[in-house]
Amino acid sequence: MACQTQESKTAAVEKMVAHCEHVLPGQRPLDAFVHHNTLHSFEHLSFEEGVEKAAILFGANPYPQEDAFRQDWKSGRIRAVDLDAVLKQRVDDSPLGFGAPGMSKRDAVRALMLGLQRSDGGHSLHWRITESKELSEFPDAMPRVSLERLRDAGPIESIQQALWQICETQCDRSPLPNEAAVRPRDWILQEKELDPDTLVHPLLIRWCGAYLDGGQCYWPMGQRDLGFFTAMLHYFSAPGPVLRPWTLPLGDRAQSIIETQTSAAQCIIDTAARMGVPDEHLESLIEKSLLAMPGWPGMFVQLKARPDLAPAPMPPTELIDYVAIRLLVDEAAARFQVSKETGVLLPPGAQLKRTRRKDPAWILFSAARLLGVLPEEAERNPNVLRQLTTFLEDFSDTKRRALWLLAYERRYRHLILDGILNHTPRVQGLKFPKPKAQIVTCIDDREESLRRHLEEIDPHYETFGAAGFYGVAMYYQNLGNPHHTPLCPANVVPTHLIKEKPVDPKQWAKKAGSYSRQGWLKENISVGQNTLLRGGLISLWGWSSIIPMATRLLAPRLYGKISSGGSKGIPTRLEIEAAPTPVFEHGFQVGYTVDEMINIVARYLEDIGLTQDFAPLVIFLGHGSRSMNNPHEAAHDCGACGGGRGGPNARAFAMMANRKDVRAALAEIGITIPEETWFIGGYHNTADDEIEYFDLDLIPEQRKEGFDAAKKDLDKARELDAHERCRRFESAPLNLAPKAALQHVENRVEDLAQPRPEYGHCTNALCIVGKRAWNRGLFLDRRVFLQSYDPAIDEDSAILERILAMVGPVGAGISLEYYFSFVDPDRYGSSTKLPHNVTGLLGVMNGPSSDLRTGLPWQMVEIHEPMRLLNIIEAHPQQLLEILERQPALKALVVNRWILIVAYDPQEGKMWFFDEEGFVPYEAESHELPERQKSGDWYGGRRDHLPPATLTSGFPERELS
Amino acid sequence: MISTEFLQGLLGLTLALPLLSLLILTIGISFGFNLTERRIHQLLGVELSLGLLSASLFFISLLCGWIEPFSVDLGTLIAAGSYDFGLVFHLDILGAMFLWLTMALVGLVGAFSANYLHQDEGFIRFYWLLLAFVIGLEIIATAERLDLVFVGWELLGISSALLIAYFIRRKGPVENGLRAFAAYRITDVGLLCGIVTLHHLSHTTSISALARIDSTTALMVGGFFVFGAMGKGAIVPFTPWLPRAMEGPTPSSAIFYGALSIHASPFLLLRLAPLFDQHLVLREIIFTLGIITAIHASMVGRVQNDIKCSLAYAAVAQVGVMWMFIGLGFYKIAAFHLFGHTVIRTWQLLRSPSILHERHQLLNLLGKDLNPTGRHLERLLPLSVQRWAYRVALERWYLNELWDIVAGFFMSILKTIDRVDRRWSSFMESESAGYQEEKPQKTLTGVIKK
Repeated sequence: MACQTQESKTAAVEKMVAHCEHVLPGQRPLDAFVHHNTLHSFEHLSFEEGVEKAAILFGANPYPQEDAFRQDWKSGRIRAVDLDAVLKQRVDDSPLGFGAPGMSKRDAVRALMLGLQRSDGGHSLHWRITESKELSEFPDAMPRVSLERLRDAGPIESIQQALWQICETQCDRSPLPNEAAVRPRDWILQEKELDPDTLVHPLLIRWCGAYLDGGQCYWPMGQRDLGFFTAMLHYFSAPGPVLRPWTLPLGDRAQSIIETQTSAAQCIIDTAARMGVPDEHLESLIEKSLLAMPGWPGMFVQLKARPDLAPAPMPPTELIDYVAIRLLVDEAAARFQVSKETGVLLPPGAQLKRTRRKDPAWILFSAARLLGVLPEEAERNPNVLRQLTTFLEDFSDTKRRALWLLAYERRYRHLILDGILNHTPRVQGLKFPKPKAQIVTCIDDREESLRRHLEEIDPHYETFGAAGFYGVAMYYQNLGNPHHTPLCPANVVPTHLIKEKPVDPKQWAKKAGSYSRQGWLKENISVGQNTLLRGGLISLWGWSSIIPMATRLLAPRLYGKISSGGSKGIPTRLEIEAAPTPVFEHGFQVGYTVDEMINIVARYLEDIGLTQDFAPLVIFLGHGSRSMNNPHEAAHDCGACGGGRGGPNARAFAMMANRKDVRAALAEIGITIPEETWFIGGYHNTADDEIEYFDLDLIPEQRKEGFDAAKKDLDKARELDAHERCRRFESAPLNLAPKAALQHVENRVEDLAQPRPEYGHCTNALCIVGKRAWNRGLFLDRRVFLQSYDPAIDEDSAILERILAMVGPVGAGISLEYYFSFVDPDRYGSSTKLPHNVTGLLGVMNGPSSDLRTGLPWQMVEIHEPMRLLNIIEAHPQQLLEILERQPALKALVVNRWILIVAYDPQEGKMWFFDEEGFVPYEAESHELPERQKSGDWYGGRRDHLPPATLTSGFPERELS
Repeated sequence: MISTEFLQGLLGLTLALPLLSLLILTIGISFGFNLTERRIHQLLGVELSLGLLSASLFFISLLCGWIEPFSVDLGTLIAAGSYDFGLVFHLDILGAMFLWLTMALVGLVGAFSANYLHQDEGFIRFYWLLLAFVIGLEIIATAERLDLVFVGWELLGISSALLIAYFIRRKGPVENGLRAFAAYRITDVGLLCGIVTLHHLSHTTSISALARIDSTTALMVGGFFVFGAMGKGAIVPFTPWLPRAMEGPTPSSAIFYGALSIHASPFLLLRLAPLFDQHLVLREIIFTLGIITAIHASMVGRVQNDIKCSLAYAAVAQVGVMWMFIGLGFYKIAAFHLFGHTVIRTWQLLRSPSILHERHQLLNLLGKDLNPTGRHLERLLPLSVQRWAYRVALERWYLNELWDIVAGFFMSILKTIDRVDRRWSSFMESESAGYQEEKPQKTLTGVIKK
């Protein structure tokens, strides 16, 4: 019987640990970095509730600071209409009941948002009151009624002094309710001002690093296959460290656990009991212990979920093992800290005191004067200040920041929606010529400018956007690479393997030989450098590296040219067709069957609405990014390829679409690709704006000229793209010519010191699902994910449904990760990247020993505008509601407002914004839209975010009559 | 033939230039001039290019024998009794080599940092410290007097410690900077004692006079100097500060702890070589410390799983080897090793943030996984020894803990003194002015109503 309860207890612990996974960061190893919502596990709550709950749990910021918003208010980024509209929706108009007569609650909240001052109390506040002019004048942001009321009541200074005295004496300084102490560490920290975590963390960091090492260290940790728990017990029970007395008892404990063969779950139960933590706090203990250092255990969870993404084969990474070890070490450290006295780690019913960080008196005073509360009023009726206090609680700092965010988002929304509403009729009146080439890029925001510039260069180009894996979800193995990497959205596990094969195996054999000799030399140098003897011999000749070092540092672009010049690749092909009886490698089918290819191509062309009017050339561009000094390199790669480089996907798609058998089958289902149409796959490097094209030798003779012309225009477009990107880089002068701009970005890519090789998705804010026709020629500032979609061929919304199911979560993941890393760079982001230190080839630490830093580094997000992604979908509200009903994950995102959606009917010129109450018709505020010739005329000389504008140079000369 | 006056002038100028730049920078900061990143970068660029030019001239000319080593006397700073603090510099091949390394590497790292630290709040601070560092190294490379060397040595120490603590808003870097500083200060005492003893016994601090002192004095003074050189070279047991120094931004890790700063230690030994030739025991001590350090760093380095600590330990291992060479009397090999190693380690550290990128390239070239490493250790050692050895290596021989114990001991002494002091002061003073433990006022009321 006892045995059974024991068993159920361990099962309960296992469940608790599994449940606690949700507080850990969901970041994968750096190589497989893919954007995800930092608070993914809070998506079942509404956005506001979720971020606020998480803020308490993680001690993080839910929204940008009020001061930042006030700056935006001053600069005009947030306007009075926005604030008023938000307040109208969120705060009722009833009279406040105290303070200046006639003031409504809404006015009061507005006054607080604009003018409430905080103070930390203590000396700075003392100075403020006694020595600054704070009490002898009124703040700028006083509402007029309050100002007049206080001014009429007497001399400014004495009135304010009196008010301050009352607030000072009457404010609520009662201590905050205590919190039960769960971790002995918190109790010891409070009582003895000693922090056992300072002992525990360095030790755990070292061992976690050793255990999860993906190939950095020369001598890997042994016996890792036993699992973290058992392996660590063995190491702990090895002869003890005399110099570190606190870990000595750990050895005996480990020994006895090994002998009794206690499981990790049982060990957790035992340790908690030994520490004096009651059963009902066990889950909380586990959660809090994990949160004390969340990065490393988070990696345990990630590696367990997707072992294929680890840089090297990993041992078992069970979170419960980590928790058991963590608690063991925690106990030892805590015992050491309290050893001199009673030896009690956590007395029963131990409470943690909480202290107020801000001074309540000052906030009360500041609010009172903003709302026009007179000193005698407050004195006469103690209820006034009490009411005010409640009011301040209802509209606390956090709540006000939530309102600010709404206003902030509203301004951008109106700029964009008004822009689109004004732009659509302008382009709808145009007749674009039959395209000479169609370019399909990833939906990525960084491709918007490339498409726009190309369309501006010549109206004979038509562009499309779609998730950049082009429907080809595969593991890909490029020539020479011993490993295959997944190239598909993060939530898909591919079932196919595509390999790159040399056209001429003999040529490759020769080349491979020379490569592997080079590799052998490099391997020996890079491994040998760090050893004693080989390192000594190598460093005797180390002075010779001054030459590559000087070249690389002083002329990065030149170095890049020299180093890549020698190793030109050889012609290759993708092996896309499966053998008649498919071959399986590592459990994946090698190549696609023809039926599968037909499916992929048909589905994709339908998705982007390209089922007729094919141009003679259709170019598919995958994208990725290459950069130095950037452990987060993969974060700049294609999100739709799960943080991989999408060139091979575009290449594979083009190969499939060029096949006669595929085309014949497509014709049967109504997609007729003319014989003269040729598909080409390419790869756009978004960091240096280079474009590479694949399989050019296969282009039919009569298409070659057309391709050369298109290539020339694309070259011009990528120059202009680089030029537009450079306006965001402080270190690039604003007067750069397009050619110089291209050189500038090429330099950035090769520059070993460059912390900002590109800005990635930074500034992303918008997603448009619909035909390019109505937003062509609109300047959207590289902030928009552009998904092509043609409602005309989608009667039952099936296409829209699968697009949204794909695009919604990806867009949300990217935009929210940027949001959180910007809003709290320390907790949610990984702060400045300058001290980042790559560890185990899978993560970064700050300096030599820290938790794994997750989230985006500050240099990646610094110019971001923290907003939820605004999705504009070419569909009717009813259609969208039906889709949401069928897609629960998407519904959660939309209904809980982690993304915002707008339904748009370009024909009617009507929009509906999905508000808290559902879809409401959108009313335009402005009916004007600036018009310029070219993009450069609009963005030239400016670094900040820009509103939309119509650009006419890409318009055909003759208009539709 | 180049005239000696010209060489002396040029050396003086080379020494004065960074001082001038530092002055300009200091004045700029203090009076709030608009020091843009660009201007700072230009200032450094000009200064270091000129420095590199003259250092190259010296180095090549000396190497090829076109000129003889020469001295320059820039006067006396202070003179008191039998002691005078003379600004005497001397340039020989060894010094010229170190001078060249300083100029070349600091120049390159300076160029690197302009982009690396772009828009960082500590940009100016970094360059200010870099200049202080250059001045320190120049003095060490060229000083003829040991008391002058000490000035350079201190500049080096303080600029290093402040750069480790570069990220002043976090607690870790500041703490680690303090640790490094402590290690430096402890060993600086050795250097200082050495200089004072030397002056006391032989009435000179001139390096050229070292060859003439008797062997007992040499043993005593030399012992102090060896101790003095241990800190900066991260010689066992002073090694723990080095991985902690990786807390600073990458360029400073590269130039200081991968390169010039830790190599100042073998350089100092090479400078003092005539002294060590006087007594075999000294050379034995140096050799022993060198070999222990090499073994320690190589063992610990093998299990490091992050790139910067791996490199830090790899660097110390080679410094240990240099000490061994010096102990064996192979001065030229040691110097040559120093020259090569400084460059290659800087280069490696500067590339460290790009490690993932390089690893991919390597895999693509190889066409297969890297050869597993460390297998021989697993094959040779029995399991229990393996576990023990691995644990000891991963915990870095518990040297950190050793220093914690030492620091704890000193702290308890200081605390006792503090307690006595407080009692004494409260006894001396009236009751009302009694010493109060300083604690931040938690409530406002206390502040206002007092």
